[in-house]
Amino acid sequence: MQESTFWKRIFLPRRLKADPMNRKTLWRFDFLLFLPVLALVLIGIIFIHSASYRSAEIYQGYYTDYSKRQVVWLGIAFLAFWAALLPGYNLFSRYAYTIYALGLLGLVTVLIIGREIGGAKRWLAFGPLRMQPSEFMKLAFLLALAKYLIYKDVLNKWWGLAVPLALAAVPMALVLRQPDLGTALLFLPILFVVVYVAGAKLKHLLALVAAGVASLPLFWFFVFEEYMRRRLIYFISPGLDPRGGGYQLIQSKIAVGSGGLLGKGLGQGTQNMLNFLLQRHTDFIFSVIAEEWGTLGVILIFSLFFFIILFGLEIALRTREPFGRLLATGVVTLITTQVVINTGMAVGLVPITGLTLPFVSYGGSSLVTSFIALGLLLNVGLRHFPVVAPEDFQG
Amino acid sequence: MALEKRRELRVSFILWTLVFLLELLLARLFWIQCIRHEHFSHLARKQYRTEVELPAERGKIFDRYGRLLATSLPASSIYLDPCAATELEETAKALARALDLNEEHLTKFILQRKHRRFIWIKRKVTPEEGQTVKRLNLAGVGFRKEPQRFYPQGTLAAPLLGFAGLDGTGLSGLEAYFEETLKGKPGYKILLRDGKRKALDPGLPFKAPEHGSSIVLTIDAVIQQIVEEELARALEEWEPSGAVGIVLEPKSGHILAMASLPSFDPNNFARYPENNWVNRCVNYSFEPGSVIKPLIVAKALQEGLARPEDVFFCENGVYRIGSRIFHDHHPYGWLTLSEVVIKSSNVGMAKLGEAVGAERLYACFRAFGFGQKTNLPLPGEAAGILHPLNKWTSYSVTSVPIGQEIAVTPLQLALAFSAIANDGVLPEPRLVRAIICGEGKVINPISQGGKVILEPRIARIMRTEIMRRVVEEGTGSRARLSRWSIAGKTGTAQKAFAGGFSHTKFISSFVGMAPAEEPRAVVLVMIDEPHKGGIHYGGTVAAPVVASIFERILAYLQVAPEGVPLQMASY
Repeated sequence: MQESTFWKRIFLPRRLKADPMNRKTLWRFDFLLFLPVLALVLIGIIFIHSASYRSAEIYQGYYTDYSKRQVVWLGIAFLAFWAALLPGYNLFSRYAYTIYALGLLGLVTVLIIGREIGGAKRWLAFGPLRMQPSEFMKLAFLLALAKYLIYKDVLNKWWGLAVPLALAAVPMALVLRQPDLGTALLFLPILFVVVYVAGAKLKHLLALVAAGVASLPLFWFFVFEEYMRRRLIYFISPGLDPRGGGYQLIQSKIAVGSGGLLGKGLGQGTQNMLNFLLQRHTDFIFSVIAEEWGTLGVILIFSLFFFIILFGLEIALRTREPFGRLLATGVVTLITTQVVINTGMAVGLVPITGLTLPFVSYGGSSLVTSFIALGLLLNVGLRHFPVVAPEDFQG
Repeated sequence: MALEKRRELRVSFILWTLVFLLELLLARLFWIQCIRHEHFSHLARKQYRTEVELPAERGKIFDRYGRLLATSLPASSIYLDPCAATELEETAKALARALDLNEEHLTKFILQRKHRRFIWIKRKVTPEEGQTVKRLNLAGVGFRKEPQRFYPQGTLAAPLLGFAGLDGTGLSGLEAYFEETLKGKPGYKILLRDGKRKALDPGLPFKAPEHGSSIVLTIDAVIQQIVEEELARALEEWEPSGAVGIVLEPKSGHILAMASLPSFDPNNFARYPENNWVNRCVNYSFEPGSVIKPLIVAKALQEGLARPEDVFFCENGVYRIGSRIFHDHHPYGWLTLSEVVIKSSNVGMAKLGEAVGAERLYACFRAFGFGQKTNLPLPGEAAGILHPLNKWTSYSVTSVPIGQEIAVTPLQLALAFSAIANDGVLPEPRLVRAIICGEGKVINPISQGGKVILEPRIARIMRTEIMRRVVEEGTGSRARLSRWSIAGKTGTAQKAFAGGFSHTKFISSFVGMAPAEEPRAVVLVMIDEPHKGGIHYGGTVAAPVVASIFERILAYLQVAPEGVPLQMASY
């Protein structure tokens, strides 16, 4: 069975090609990847409850318990998950550019008729439900990028990076207009990782990064808007305005730090229950977990994400079909980057940008997107389309 | 093969990069959560926990029969939150009108602090003012209950009681001395505060306040009232700069009244000059003058150096020692020792002083308690001035017996005469009868008992033969009582200033004890600088005050009248 030889395959990936047969059953479904995700979602629902439930006598019904809504979103996310899992992923390969175009359309639409909340136009409203097109755009971009990069030898040349850059730049510019710096920046790690795995030269990528860093001053003065500059300043020294710009970072660090090794216990976190921390059930759910379950809870969360990275990349490794491999790598990168940025935000390693913790934070678009990504990843893991590669003939 | 292998390595590289990032985050989390845990816990506690003080009630002060002299009442204080107020200037004007404050000042005061969240407008307002402001219903104006010290008897015994300031801390008198006893210990309660600064009560156990102890004085409010009334009358009559009166119970040393005028209303102490706050009975010392003479005579009798019937030649009123000349008010020839006191002859006393000698005089003053604090629980008590023997000059033996070169407080003087009234035992002065603790436990101060300084026989001779005759035949004739016998001594001291004695400023005093046989009270009255009509003799100014005090308090104390036939009394 798959499970018994699993560790060998992780650490001895070359043995993979020995058994390319009989892999097209649903039993290939990667439970070891799926169960950690389920655990994360459950923990997420528990903490969304803890972060949004308040005793009625003190707060007079002012608070909504978001955990129930998250359960509803989970149902929708499951439907999307199966939709992404059941058809062969070559179907997504075929319509990759169409999906990309639809995503761009969504981004343009949101700029025109989007609902503005807190000074940003990010949401399209369908009755009571709201969705963020930028969340789905991340996946659309990944599909288009992977599709474009299949068998692209030009990646050896530096100008071969032009089209992938353009693919990223268009949605990034649209997302920045919302404005949503965090999501916009998320396109970059996906671009770099996928291009790298597809065969781009490391020195080209490093040169690109260096160019980006070198042009930071230009960005600072000409591209960045005032709120972005302020965010960076308060990230570096939150004490400048502890009640305004630096408030959330200070409160989040206090929440994480006061949690300690064992945490204060579920529903016992003072930063959480006394509303010092803001955006507790969405972007800062990790701080609540760290406060109430302490380092042990943090280690649990990180272990679960570690399994997702491990088994996700294991799928990428055992898939020799390039689209599937790029897709799998991209999905893992997408999820992991969000985890790193979101938790980095909570502990003051990364400036605060509006990013959710995948599978855990409250948020319909985020949950549905994450589950579609998971579906695509497992889809790749389920199916191994026969590929004729040069080494098949070399023995 | 090579291509495929390179691509697998690239995926592995991505894997380890991502895992490395997670490790980095874990390291950071470990730093914040485990190593700097205490720091962040402290920060968290600081912002969510607040201790709210539960104030302790300040103890009360009672007179010896439980009449209330000082207590604390809840009063409203008015504050303003300028950020919550709508029209600051309108609010300021309305408040100024309602609270009788200067409109311009208040407006300026508020506008300068318009970014604060809390400023006191007026603390401890009257109930009427509070009602008026409440009816105005202004935004941002709030009330806080604060205990206010209240003295129901008004000016009665004010310099003795002292007063408490705006924050309830005793600032003078007994209020200041017993601050620790009266104030108690505040308790506290822990409240939680949420992110919006709203306070929540989690119902944690709290520490109840320990209320302050109450004090029962030896003062009798009725006697105190009598003394203050009589002194006030003298004040009107003689227009002196001040007057004090002390009533002592000689057997117990209990101080029944201690008055110092001009006085003040402790409910409104700030409206009176600071000089009125002073308790002249213990905080001032004077050169006593002739009133001290009986004490020297008692010492001479005690030591067997003289007898009452011994005669002294009084030099017809002028006595020269070295460059110094003593004058008597009337020239006398030969006088017995008793007559020296009765007629208050300075020449006779100077000669007696020479006979007694410096050491015995000094010992006599020490024994009567001069030059030392009585250690009554009153702040700022003066010790008086009694120069050590080595500072005495050759003139001292003659000046000291007439009450010069020595300064005493009125209390010391009254106490010294209590020894004569108490058959030679100097009682320990007492001002506090009991302390009632917050829980109701009563503590009685331990009395050390008196100090024997005269034989009872000598004290009796002093009272009934010498000092009684001062009133009956001598300088104190105006102290005579209608129904009781009284013993006493007058004093008229020139006020000393640098380089000599004043000829216009005097201290008139009279100390009396009645009934002379078995005194129930010692009364001392000192009138400082009487200056109406140039009259300043103790016998004229102070003696009538003592007499009228005795008339009233002996009746109040239900002392049987003397000289009334027994049969009549029994009918």
